Amino acid sequence: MIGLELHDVSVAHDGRTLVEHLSFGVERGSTTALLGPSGVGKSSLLRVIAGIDRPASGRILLDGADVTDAPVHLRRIGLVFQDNQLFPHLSVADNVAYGLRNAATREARRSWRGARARERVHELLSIVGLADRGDDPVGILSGGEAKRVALARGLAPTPGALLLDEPLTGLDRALHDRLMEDLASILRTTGTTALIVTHDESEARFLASATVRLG
Amino acid sequence: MLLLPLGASAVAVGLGIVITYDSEPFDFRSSWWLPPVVHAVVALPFVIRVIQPVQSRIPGHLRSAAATLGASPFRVWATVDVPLISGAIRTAVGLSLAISLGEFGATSFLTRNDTDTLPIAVEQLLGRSGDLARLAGHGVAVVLLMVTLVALAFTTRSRRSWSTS
Repeated sequence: MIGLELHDVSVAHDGRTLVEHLSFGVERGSTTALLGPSGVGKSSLLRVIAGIDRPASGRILLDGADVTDAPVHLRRIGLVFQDNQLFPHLSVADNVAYGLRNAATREARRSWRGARARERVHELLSIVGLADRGDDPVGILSGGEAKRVALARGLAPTPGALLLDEPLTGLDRALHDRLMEDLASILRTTGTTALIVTHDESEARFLASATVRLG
Repeated sequence: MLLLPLGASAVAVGLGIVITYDSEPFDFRSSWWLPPVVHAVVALPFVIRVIQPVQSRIPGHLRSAAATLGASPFRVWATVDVPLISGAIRTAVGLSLAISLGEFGATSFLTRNDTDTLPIAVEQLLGRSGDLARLAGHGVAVVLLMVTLVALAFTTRSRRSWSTS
């Protein structure tokens, strides 16, 4: 079953067409890599899929439902930014809990109230190996730790699909390799439908079961 | 446009209000609420100058990150923007309080005997003859100075907490 589908999607930025008539699907629970050189529109495409920007044309479907016109907060498509974008005024645990406390619907917020949210945050922090760092401010985290927190935050509200924008860029080789193994394991463990942007072929082969090339 | 009062004399603002609101049905000159409103007009440019630069430094991606996690535009504002500018808001409140407490130019056109502000009271007491009135004027001036210092101390403390956050 296809989790995330793009039909004939075109992306334009500042009047320039970056992606033209792109169609592909990501199997539910699997990881697909979006490969391509810098400046080809990979990150712009992720922003369009997440709903931050609108496509020039085409349709986007999540679990069979057309979400092309759905506002970003109602899409259930998470996005892990390349530079993490952790909330600087919140602790590690509060960052991870953000999507639970501020879910789009009242029912979802109610379902994540109290102990259940705490359990979910602890579960996610354990998965990313930061169970004892929940009270820390995010400002003191290392690059790798911040990426793990961003990943945990993206996974916490159980999105229908998770988009990861070059999640391993800017890390030293040892940390890169360790985090790549962890990332593959986490995505597999959580059964997340994921689309990963990368320009590294070996990274794509390791993390994803399918690849889509841009440019 | 909102910064305009910054370039205009407070006396001109007061005089303009007296001239504008001097006939029915808009004769508000003796209304008790007019001085606070005028103080707000005088303080508004300072509030904008304090808050706006801090707000413009918030990365747009932070709001996008919040939205992709399910936060509605109002929740993004309440949980991302407001906490990040809270220090600037406290500073603006302290600054506005100090400006309001010390405002004399515009207020001198608008106060009546039953709605004096501290600077007006000082001016009136020092203008009267007699030692008692002068002493009272000095006393009120000291009270004004102390309250203003407390307001400014609040501002300084807010700035410190913002810079360390």
